[in-house]
Amino acid sequence: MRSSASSPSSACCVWRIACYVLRIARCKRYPIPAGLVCLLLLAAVGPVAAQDEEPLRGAQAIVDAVPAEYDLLAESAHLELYIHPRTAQIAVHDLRVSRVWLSNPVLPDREQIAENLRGIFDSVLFVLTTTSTGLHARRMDTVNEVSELKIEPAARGATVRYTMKGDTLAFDLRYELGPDYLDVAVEERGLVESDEGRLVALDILPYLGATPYRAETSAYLVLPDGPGSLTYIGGSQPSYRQVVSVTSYGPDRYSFARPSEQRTPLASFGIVHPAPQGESNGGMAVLGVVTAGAGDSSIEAGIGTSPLSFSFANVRLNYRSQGLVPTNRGRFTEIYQTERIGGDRAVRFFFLADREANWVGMAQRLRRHLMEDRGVPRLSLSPSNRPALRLRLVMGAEKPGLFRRRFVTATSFAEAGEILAAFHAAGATAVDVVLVGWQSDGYEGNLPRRWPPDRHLGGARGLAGLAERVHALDGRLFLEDDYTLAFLRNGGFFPLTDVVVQSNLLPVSDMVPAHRVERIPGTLQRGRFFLNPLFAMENYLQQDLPRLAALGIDGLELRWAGELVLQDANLRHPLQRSDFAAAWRQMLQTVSDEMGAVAAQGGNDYVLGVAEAVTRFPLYHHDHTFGDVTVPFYPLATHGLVRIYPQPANLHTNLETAFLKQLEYGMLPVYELTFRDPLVLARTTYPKLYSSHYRDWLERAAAEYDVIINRLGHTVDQFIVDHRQLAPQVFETLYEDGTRVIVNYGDRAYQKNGLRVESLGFHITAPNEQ
Amino acid sequence: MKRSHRILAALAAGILLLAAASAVGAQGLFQPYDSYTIDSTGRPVPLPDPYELDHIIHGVSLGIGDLKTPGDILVDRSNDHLYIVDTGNDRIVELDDRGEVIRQFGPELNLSAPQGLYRDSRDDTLWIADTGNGRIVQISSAGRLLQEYGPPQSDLLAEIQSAAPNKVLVDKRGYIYYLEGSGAGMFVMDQQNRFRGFFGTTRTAFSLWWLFVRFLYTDEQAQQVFLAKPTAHTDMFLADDGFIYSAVSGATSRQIQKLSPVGTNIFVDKSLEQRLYKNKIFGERRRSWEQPTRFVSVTVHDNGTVTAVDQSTGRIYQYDQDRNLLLVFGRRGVGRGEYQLPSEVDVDSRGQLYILDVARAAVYVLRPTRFAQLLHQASALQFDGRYDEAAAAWQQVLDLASNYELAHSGIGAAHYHAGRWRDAMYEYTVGHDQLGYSLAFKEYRQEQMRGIIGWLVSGAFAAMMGVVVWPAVSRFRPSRHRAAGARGRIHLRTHVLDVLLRPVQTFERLAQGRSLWPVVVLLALAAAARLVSLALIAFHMRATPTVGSFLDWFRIYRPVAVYLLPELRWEDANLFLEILRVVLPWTLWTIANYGVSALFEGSGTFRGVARTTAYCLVPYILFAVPVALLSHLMTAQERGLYESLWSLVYLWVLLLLLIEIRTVHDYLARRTVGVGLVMVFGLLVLSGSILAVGLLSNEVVNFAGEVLYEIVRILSF
Repeated sequence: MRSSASSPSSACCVWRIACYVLRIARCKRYPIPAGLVCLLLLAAVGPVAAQDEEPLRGAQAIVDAVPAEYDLLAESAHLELYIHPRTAQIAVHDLRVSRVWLSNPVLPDREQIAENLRGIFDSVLFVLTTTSTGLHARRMDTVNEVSELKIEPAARGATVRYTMKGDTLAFDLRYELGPDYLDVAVEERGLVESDEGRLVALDILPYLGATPYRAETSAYLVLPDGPGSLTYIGGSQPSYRQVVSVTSYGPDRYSFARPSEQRTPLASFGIVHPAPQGESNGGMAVLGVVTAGAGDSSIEAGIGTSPLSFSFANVRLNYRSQGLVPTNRGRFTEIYQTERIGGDRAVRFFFLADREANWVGMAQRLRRHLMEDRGVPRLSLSPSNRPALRLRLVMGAEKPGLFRRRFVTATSFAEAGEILAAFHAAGATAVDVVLVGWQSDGYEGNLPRRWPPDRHLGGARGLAGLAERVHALDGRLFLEDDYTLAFLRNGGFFPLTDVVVQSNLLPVSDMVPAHRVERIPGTLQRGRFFLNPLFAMENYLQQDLPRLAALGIDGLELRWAGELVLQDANLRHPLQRSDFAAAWRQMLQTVSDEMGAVAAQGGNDYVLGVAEAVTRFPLYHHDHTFGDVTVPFYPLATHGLVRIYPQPANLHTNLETAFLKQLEYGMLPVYELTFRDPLVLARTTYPKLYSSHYRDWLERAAAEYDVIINRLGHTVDQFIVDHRQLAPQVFETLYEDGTRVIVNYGDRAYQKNGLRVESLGFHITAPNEQ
Repeated sequence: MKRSHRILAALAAGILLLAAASAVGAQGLFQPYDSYTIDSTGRPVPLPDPYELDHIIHGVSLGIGDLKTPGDILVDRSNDHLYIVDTGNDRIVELDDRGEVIRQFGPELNLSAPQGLYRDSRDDTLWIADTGNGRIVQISSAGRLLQEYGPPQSDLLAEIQSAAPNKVLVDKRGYIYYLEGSGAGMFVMDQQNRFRGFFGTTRTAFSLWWLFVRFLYTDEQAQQVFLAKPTAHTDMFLADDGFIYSAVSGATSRQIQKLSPVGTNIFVDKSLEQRLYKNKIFGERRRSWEQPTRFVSVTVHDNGTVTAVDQSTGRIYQYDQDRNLLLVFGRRGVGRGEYQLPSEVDVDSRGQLYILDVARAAVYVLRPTRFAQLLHQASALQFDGRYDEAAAAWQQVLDLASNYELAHSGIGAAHYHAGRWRDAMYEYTVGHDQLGYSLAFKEYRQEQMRGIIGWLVSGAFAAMMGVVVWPAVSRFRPSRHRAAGARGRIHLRTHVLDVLLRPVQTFERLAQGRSLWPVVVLLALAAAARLVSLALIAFHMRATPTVGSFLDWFRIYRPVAVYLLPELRWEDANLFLEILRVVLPWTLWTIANYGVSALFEGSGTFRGVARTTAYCLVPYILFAVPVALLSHLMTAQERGLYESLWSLVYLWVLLLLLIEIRTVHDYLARRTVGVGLVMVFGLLVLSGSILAVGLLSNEVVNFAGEVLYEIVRILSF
C-alpha cells in the first residue's frame, strides 16, 4: 500500500528536482546530456526521495513551546524572539496565542531524511550565488555551506554574520523585534563578495509559516496578484500547481508583442493558519512586507514543491538580474549581471493572531503600516476634490494614408464639452474628464513630444475652452499623458543614452534583435523605446507642466506610472528597479505640486500618498493556476488612502459582475467614450475600442453614478473594516461608518433576516439604517 | 571603459537608426487582443470577450485524484452530463450537470489508455476508443459491456493495419467511424467488423511535380518516396443533421470539414465568385515563420456555430455555417483567459464551453457572455434565412461591438431581401462584403437602367464612332508633328495616339529622339493613372486580398491583376509602393532590353529604348481610368468581362513592347520573338539579382548588428 501510494509522487518529486537542477545548469539545449543527468539523478536520489514524504508527515513549523537550546534575544508587547546559538535558527513566540513560529520545521524522523535534504530544511535562508562567468546560479544553504556563523546580540535583536565556505561571500542578517513585528535586514555595508561568490539572491526565512505538503490544514497563502489572491494549501492539490515567482511591481522584462498582464502592486505576501474550526481565537498569520529595496524583490511561493516538500511563501531579495545575451546566431543565453544591485534591504514580518489572523486582518495591518511607517495620508476630500465618475474621452489618433498619416478625430474638444453636458443633464454632476490622445498627432502620434494639443481637435485654444466649460459644470479636466513611450521616427531623444536599457546594454525596444524572435514583422509600428524617467522629467515633463497649467488643466493621469518598473542600465541615469520606482514617485510628485492633482495607471504601492487616484486596476487576479480565489486585499488596504478605478466599464467582459465587483471592492466608476462611432478609430494607433459611443452608455453610466457616487460616495475616504462571505457567491463589505454593501454574484437570490439580495443584485445599508 | 561605452552607444544608435530607415511599410498596429476577429483585410479587430471562466474542473476538486493526460471530453447535451476520458488512469468519469462525479468506468471493462468517447443518443450507449487495447467497445448506459470491435477485416487493409483507435463515432446507419493516432485517415467499419473504406478523403491535387516524379520514377519508387497519404483528421464530430465535422491538421486550407453522409466536404467554395471573393480559409493567414494553425478538436453548437481549438497558439476559433470567422479568443499561458495545452472542446445545451487542457489535466468551463449569445443567435437566424430577425440581433451585436463587419453585412442582407437596394449597398460597403454589394448593385442597376438604356446605347455608339473617326482627323498635318517629335516634346496626337494606331512608324521616330523628358512625364502619368484608377475602382470590383486556386494563375489577367491591384482598400495604398509598381517594370525592361539587344546586334540606343518603352505605357495611361470607371456599371457576375478589359489593356502594352523590340532594334519578325524571350529571361535574371542583393544587404545589416551585440557583450560582462 505504502509503496503504491508514494512511488508516483516521489517519481514526480525527482523529476522536479531534475528540472530544477537542469534549469540552473541551463542545459535545456542539450537534451541528451540533460536526459542522462536526469537518469543519473533518478538513480542516485530516487531511493532517498522515495522516503522523503513519510518522514515529513509530522513536520511542523509552528509549535506550542520554544524548543530547548534556544536563547531569548528580545521581548516586545506581543512577541519574544529566540535564537539557536549554534544554527542561528530563530523562533518567534507569539504571546497572544502562546504559540511559536519557527524559522525551520521540526522534523520528527530526522534520521530517515537524506543529509543534503536535512541541510535544506535546516537552512534559515537560501543563498543564491554565481561566479564571475555569471552563467549558473547555485543555491546554498546555511547549514552545510557556511564556514563561520557569528551571532552578535543587539538592542532589540541580534546580528548574525554568515561567512560562506572558502570565504567566497559574507553578509550580516540583522533581526530587530517590534511590538508585533520582526524586522529582518541585510545591510549593504556588511556584504563582502568575491569572484567565486557573487550574490544573486537571498531567500529570507523560507520556512517561516510553511506547511508540509498534503497536510490537512485550512491554511492559505495570500499573494499580491492584482487585487490579491488566496491559494489554499491543505489537502490534495492538482499536480499542475507548483511554484510561482512574482516580481514586486511587475515583471522586469517588457515585451511589446505581448505585454504582461501580471500586476503585482505590493511587495508583500501572507501565510494564514486560521483558528481551528468553530473557534474564533487561536488563528495565526504572518504578513511579510519588503520595507527597503522593494523594487528589487520578488515573492516566491510553492505548494509541496520539491526539494522543499513544503507549501511556503517567502521574500527573495534580488541582487543580480539576468540579461539575455546572444551566444551565436539566433541563440541567447541568460547571464547574471556583473554589478551588484546595491542598497540596504529589509523585510518586516507582522505576526497577527486571533481575530486578525486572516487576509482581512492583514490588509488592515498593511494599511496601518502604510500610514504610520510610510506616511501615506488619508484622502482629504473637498468640494473640488470629491468622489467622481471618471470619463475617459478618446480624442484622436493617426492612421496610415496615401501621402501621409491621416488624423482621425473621434471626439473634438468642443464635442467633449457636449458629452459632459449630456452627462450633467443625466444627473452625473461630479465628473473627472480625462482626455486621451489630445496631443499633437493624437494618441502616441508624436511622442516623446506632445505640444501643442492637436489642431484637428481644436488646438490649445479649444482645450482651454473645454477646461472652462468643464469647470463651469463643476467637473475637473485631466489629461492622460505618456512620458515613457517614445518613437524613434519623431526624434527628440537618443536611443541608448536617454532610454531604458536592459542589463545586456541593449535598449528596451521593438527594434532590438532580442525582440526579433517574438516580433510579428510588418505589423508592429516599430521604433518604440521607453524613456528613462529622469530624462523624461527633465526634458519633457518640466517644460510641459507650466503650459498645461496655464490652460486650466487640473491634473495629469500618467500612463505606466503604477505598473511599469524596469531595471535601467542607462549610461547617463542608471536606475535600479527601486530607483525606478522612486523616479516614478518623484515624477508624480512634480505633477502634483505643479498642477494640484495626479493619477497613476496601475497601483504599485509607491504611488500611494502622491497620486489621488489609481486607474486601470484589475478586478481579478491573473495567475489562476496558482491562485484559487480573488480577494480585495489591495482595495482593503488602500481604501480611504487612494481612489481606485478599474478598467473602463464599457470594455468589461461582463458588465453586471464587473459592476458588482466595483461595489464590493469600493472602486469608482470609469467609462471610456467617444463622440463618434469607434469605427472611425479602426486601423489608427488606438484601435482598441469596440463600443464607446457616448449615447450608448449614457443611461447605464448615469445609473451606476447614482449608486456609486450618490449613495456610496461618502465612503471614499472611509476605511473598509471588514469583508465577509455571507454565502456562496455573496459577499459583504463593511465601512468604518457602518455602511454595508452586500453583493450577490450567484444565480439565486440571497435571503437572511428579512434582507433579500436578488441574483446579480446588491444591497446597500446606510449607517443610520442599522 | 566609460569612453568605450560612449563609442559603443553611438555605434549602436547608428545601427538602430539604419535599421529604422530600412523598415519599409511597417504601418498599422498589431495589438495582441484577448478576443478578436479578422476583418476583410486580414487584420485583427478587437472584440468584447465572448466567454468568461465559470470554473475549473480537476480531478482533485472532484475527489477522484489527479486526472492523468486526459484524452477526450464529451458533453451529453440532453442532460448536460460531462464525460472525461482519463486516459492515464484508464477510466472514464461521468459528472452530472452540477459537476459532481456520478460514475466511473474503467477497471471492470479492462480499459487501457482510452482516448476517445462517443455517446449514441438513440440507444443510450457509450462507445469507447480503447486505444491501449486496440479495440472499440460499446457499453450500455449502466456500464455493461455490449460489444467489442477489434481491427476491421479487409484484404485492402493488409498494409495499413489499424491498431489503435483514438476517436470514435457511430452514425445513424450504424457505421462506426474511427481515427488513429497515425493519421491514417477516417476509417469506417460496419457492425460486423468489416472495413467499409476511408471517409472524407481529400482529392490529391494535381501537381506538376507529381507528374515529373511519375515520369522519372518507377511506380514502386514513387510509392516509396511520395506515398499519397489520406487526410490527417485529428477530430470528428457528428452533428444532429447527420453531417460529420472534422478537424484536419497539417493542411493550409480546409482544416475544418463538414462531410455529408457520402463523404463530400461541403465546407468549400462552390462557385467561381465565391472563390474569388470569399475565399474563406480556416485558422489565420499564416506567414512562413509562424506556427501553422493546428486544429485538434472541433465541435458544433446546437445553433450551428462551429468551435475549433488550435493547439499551436491555444486559440479557440468560432465559425458560422457560412464559414465566416465569428471570433477568436484565448491564448497559451497560465493566466486569465489562457490555456496551457488545450486539446478538446465541447459545448453543452446552455452554450457553455468545456475546454480540456491536457497539460494541466483540467477542464475549463466557460460561460458565454451576452455578446457571444447575440452573435450566435444572429448568425444562426441569418443562416436560416430569417433576415429581419437576424438584422435585429445584428443591431444588438453592433451596440456591443460597432466594428463588427459581419453584422453590417447581415443587416445588408435584410435590406437586400426587402428590396431596399441602396440601403443594402451601404451596409455591405461598411461590412466590406463585396459579393453582397454586387448582388444588391445588380438589382439597383436593373432598376436604374430601365430609364436610361436608350441614352446609354447612343452614348456607346457615339464613343465608337469617335474612336474610328478621330485617327482619320488626326492624319491631317503630319509633318509639323514629326518635327515636334524630333525636338523631344510629347505631342498628344503625334505620339500618344500614333503609338496606339501606328506604333511602328511612331517608334521609329521616337527612337531617334534624345530628350528624356517624355520618359519622366509618361512615367508620372502612368503612376497617376495607377493611383486614380485605384481610387476609382468600384468597391465590389477591388481585388481580393488572397489569390484563389492554382488554376487562377493560368488566366492571363490574374498575375497582372495580383501584381498591380493587390489593394482592397484605397486607404491601404502606399504612395511609394504604387510609384514603384510603375517605375520598376519600366526600369527593368529598359535595362534588359538594351542589354540583350547589345548582344544581339540591335541598333537601338539606350535613350531610344528608354523613350520607346515609356511610350509603351500609353494604353495603360489612357485606359486605366476609364476601365476603373466602367467597374461601377458591372456586377460581380460580370467580373470576367471587367477583368478581360484589364487584360486587353495589358496585352496592348505587351504588344507594343514586342513591336518596340522589332522597330527600335530593326529585327526581323522571327528574331524579334527570339530576342524578346531572351529579354524576358534577362528581366528575370535582373529581378532575381536585385532580390539577392536586397537580401544580402539585409544580412549585412543583421551581421553588423550582431557584431555590435558581441562587442557590447564582451565589454560589459
